[in-house]
Amino acid sequence: MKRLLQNLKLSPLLYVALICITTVFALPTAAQEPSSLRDRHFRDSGLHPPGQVGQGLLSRGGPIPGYFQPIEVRAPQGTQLAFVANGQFGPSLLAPTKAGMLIGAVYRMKITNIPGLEGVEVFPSIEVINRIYPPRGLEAKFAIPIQLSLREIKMAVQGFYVTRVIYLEDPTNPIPVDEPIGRQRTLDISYTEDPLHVADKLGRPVAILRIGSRYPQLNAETGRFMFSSPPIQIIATPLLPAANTSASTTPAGFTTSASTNVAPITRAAARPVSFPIPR
Amino acid sequence: MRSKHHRLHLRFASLAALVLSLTACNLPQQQMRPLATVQISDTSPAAPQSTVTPAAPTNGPIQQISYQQPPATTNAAPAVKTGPIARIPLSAETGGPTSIVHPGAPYPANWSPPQISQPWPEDEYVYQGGDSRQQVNVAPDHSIHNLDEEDTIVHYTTRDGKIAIQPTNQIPIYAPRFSSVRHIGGASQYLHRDHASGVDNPLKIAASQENLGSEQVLQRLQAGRNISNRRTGLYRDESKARDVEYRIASLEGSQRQKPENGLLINTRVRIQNSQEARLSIQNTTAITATDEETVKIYVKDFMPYKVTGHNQMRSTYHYELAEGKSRLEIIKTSSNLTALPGDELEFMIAFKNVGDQPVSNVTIVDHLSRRLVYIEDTQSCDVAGKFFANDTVQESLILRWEITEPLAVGESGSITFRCRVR
Repeated sequence: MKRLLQNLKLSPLLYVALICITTVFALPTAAQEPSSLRDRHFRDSGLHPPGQVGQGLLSRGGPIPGYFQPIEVRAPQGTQLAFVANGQFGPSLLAPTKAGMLIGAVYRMKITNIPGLEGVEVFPSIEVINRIYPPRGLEAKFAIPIQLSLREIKMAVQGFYVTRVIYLEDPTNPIPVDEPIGRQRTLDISYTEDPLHVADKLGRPVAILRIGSRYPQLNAETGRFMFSSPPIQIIATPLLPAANTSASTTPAGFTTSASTNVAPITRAAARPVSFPIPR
Repeated sequence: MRSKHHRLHLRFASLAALVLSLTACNLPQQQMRPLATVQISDTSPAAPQSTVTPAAPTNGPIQQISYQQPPATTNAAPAVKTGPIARIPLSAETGGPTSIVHPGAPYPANWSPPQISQPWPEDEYVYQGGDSRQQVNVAPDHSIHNLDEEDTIVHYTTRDGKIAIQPTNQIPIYAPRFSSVRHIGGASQYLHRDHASGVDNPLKIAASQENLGSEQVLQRLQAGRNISNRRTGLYRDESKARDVEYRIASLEGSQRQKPENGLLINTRVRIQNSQEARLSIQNTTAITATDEETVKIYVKDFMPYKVTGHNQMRSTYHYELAEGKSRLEIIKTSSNLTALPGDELEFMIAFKNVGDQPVSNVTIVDHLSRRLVYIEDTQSCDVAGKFFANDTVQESLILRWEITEPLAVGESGSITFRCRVR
């Protein structure tokens, strides 16, 4: 043992190698360690600039980067929305629409054809800050719902800036109420409170919706308004015939209930969206 | 010579380990390479049909991607990707049991972190059945205690009069529910915040002021005062502690505390060694006197919880019970293991007497989760019994079925009811 210690003194490279090996084996373990504390946002705020919360969670070893978390954007019936692709807005899709979004990236949308507000455009943004783990093959069915209410759109038109943190409810202490139809249960907090910290106490925050932009500030050099056009996956929306909708036309992984309140999508409306390829 | 060989071996080993570690450090970077989506075109000779489902079969190039799980085919042709970059390497990274590439799912089926049991994560599941958290107790008057939410148990009376409790299996139902927290502010606030985030970087210069603390290096000059530390001369005085006579005196002092055990508490009498034996005799006598107050006889498992007197048992009754065990098996199933808010689930509780003795007073109790609402008049039981539904303080529901007739050996029954997911 004494000789071994003497030899260890003579080889400092061995210390470096041991440190490197320990680091290599410890990092993946820390990254995969499930911890509720890791998902908490002690230093973040829901009022931070878009993208900061999600990137902070990824840097702390959160969900694996590169996963396209399905999101279902719901809006009042008839509302059309368009996602950003290749630095510009793609074709308009009829809400509700499902899309796979990267965790930590920010996606700008264009909301048009708002019922009662025809001719008005609103440009909300969605930031996915965490993912969920549904059973295999049911990722699209259990997409994170983000409901754009008409009241919030009207507030954005009037000049308000609405920040809404969508969180996964804690099943051990759920609110014993039925899920409202056509809207998302929302807890309004005061101006001085932080929505992210409140959501941390109620569950696990998964996405942040920001509504307030009314005028697109397109800048091709910075790409700031588009948040650099992160890649997005538009999940196939089942085509609904005008009548006699059969269950066999609905692909697996989609709920028929979610499609009942969707107006029939024409061929033109279901045109593909161009996807950017990151370099 | 031999030590030189050892050093060479160790240096060679350390260099090899360093190279290996540096090579391993590159692995995470390779896994986090830039990602891209798949460019799918119908004009491609071999579209990746195994992973992507086109939305419209005959409408030009369709790039919408669904998460539909393709049917497993044994002779499926290898998918040809027309895009320049493939999607995320899925099973190769995670080492999952399957090799099917599934779009958008970096984990294989039923994945959970190492050393974490399924299902995972728990906050996305609603559990039903079992006996979690506190263990359920049933009093002799058949009142149930510690019945937590989501618990489902059956309790019955065996032939020898005991009350047995048997929980069901636990059913994890994937039913995440989302809510939101809304903050309403002014739009100008956002612009101000956006600028403030860019000012944070120049503020890092202020951190250099913390380096001024290096002036404390001057304190190292205090080491020069060690010249006056002539404490080594004090070792002569410390040698006095080795005197054995002092230690003997301390032992005598400790014996003076022993009168606390006897009646000599207030008599500050110095106890000699010859008196210690008498005190021991008195203590032993006192222990014997208190021992008679304890109950020495009890019947079976019923322990006395209160002693009101010193009555002793004078007669003994002997019961002869038939040999055998009473056992009831109970299983709870759900019509679906995934549910969205608003969906309906049908639960079935099947029970069977698998023992070799009949059981009576069979009662099935199901404490529904707050996420489940019992649909009225949907319960049915194929054996004669009574049904009760009781509300709780937490606005959950406790369903209770009391089977009226004893359950014979091998006899079974089932209960079905429907719930709506909140």
